[in-house]
Amino acid sequence: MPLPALDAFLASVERRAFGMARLATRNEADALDIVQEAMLKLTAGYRDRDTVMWRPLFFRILENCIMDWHRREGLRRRWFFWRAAPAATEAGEDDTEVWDKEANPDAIDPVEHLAVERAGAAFLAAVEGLPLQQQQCFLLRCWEGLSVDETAEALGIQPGSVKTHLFRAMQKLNEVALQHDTAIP
Amino acid sequence: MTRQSPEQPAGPELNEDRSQRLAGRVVAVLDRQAQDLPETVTAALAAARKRALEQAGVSRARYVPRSLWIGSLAAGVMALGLVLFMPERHAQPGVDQLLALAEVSDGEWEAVQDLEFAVWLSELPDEALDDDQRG
Repeated sequence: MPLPALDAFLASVERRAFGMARLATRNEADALDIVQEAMLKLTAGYRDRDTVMWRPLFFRILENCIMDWHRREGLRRRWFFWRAAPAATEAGEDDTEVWDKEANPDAIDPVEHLAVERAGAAFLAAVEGLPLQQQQCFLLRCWEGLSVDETAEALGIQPGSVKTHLFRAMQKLNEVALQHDTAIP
Repeated sequence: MTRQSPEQPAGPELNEDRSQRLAGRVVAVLDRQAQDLPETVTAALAAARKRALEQAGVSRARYVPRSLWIGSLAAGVMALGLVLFMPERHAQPGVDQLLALAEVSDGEWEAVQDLEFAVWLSELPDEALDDDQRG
């Protein structure tokens, strides 16, 4: 398979992949490392596969990298418990602050803009606060658009579990929407 | 199944339609954030992609000679088989046979010629012999 096709594919998924890794790790540098690792593994082992297989394979690799990161992080916290700090503060800034910095400046009505921004930040915080598997199910199914089966394969769980995790994630997001009185169009 | 606490505001039931609209709303927020990533992050992602593609290019360069190597090995085995087995099946007079003929004396040579004549005569059809006798 020609490298330009692989380049175009990676360019098309890298931002969402970073967003997923960033939400899962709450750390920008670690998220970048994870995305790079996933890219390297895809190009090293699967570049000759059919192009339609790249997307599920890439996100499967990405999720495995995220799971590995969580295992390493759990081990690190267990051994270095005295300096265990929330991962969110490792980068020296609060996560919601990072997202808030990227606020959309195009909104006209400042009150509406503020409400939308607050709701958006609340949604992001809610997604970030989801248990890992609920978060991964939501992101792969709803953001990346993978099927239930593809999501199950990427996460190494049963399709029924995907539906359960997704339902629980949606319940939590619904609670956020109700708390912020967000009008769902 | 999570239970809603009593202090949570009562709201619309989370049916499939509302789930889809809610998911769409959250995805829109996620999309916007992904599009508005800081330049340092986008540059780092591009660099990561470049590294991955460079690695793919290097691996591919190694892969092609491997396929050629396998082809060359197969061709070599076939050539070796031809060299080993073909001379046995299509043997030509060798140097040893020519040297043996050179050492034959005149008397022995006449005996060999008589023997060849007898062999030739035995191979003739009977009708040819009868014609010769009538003629």
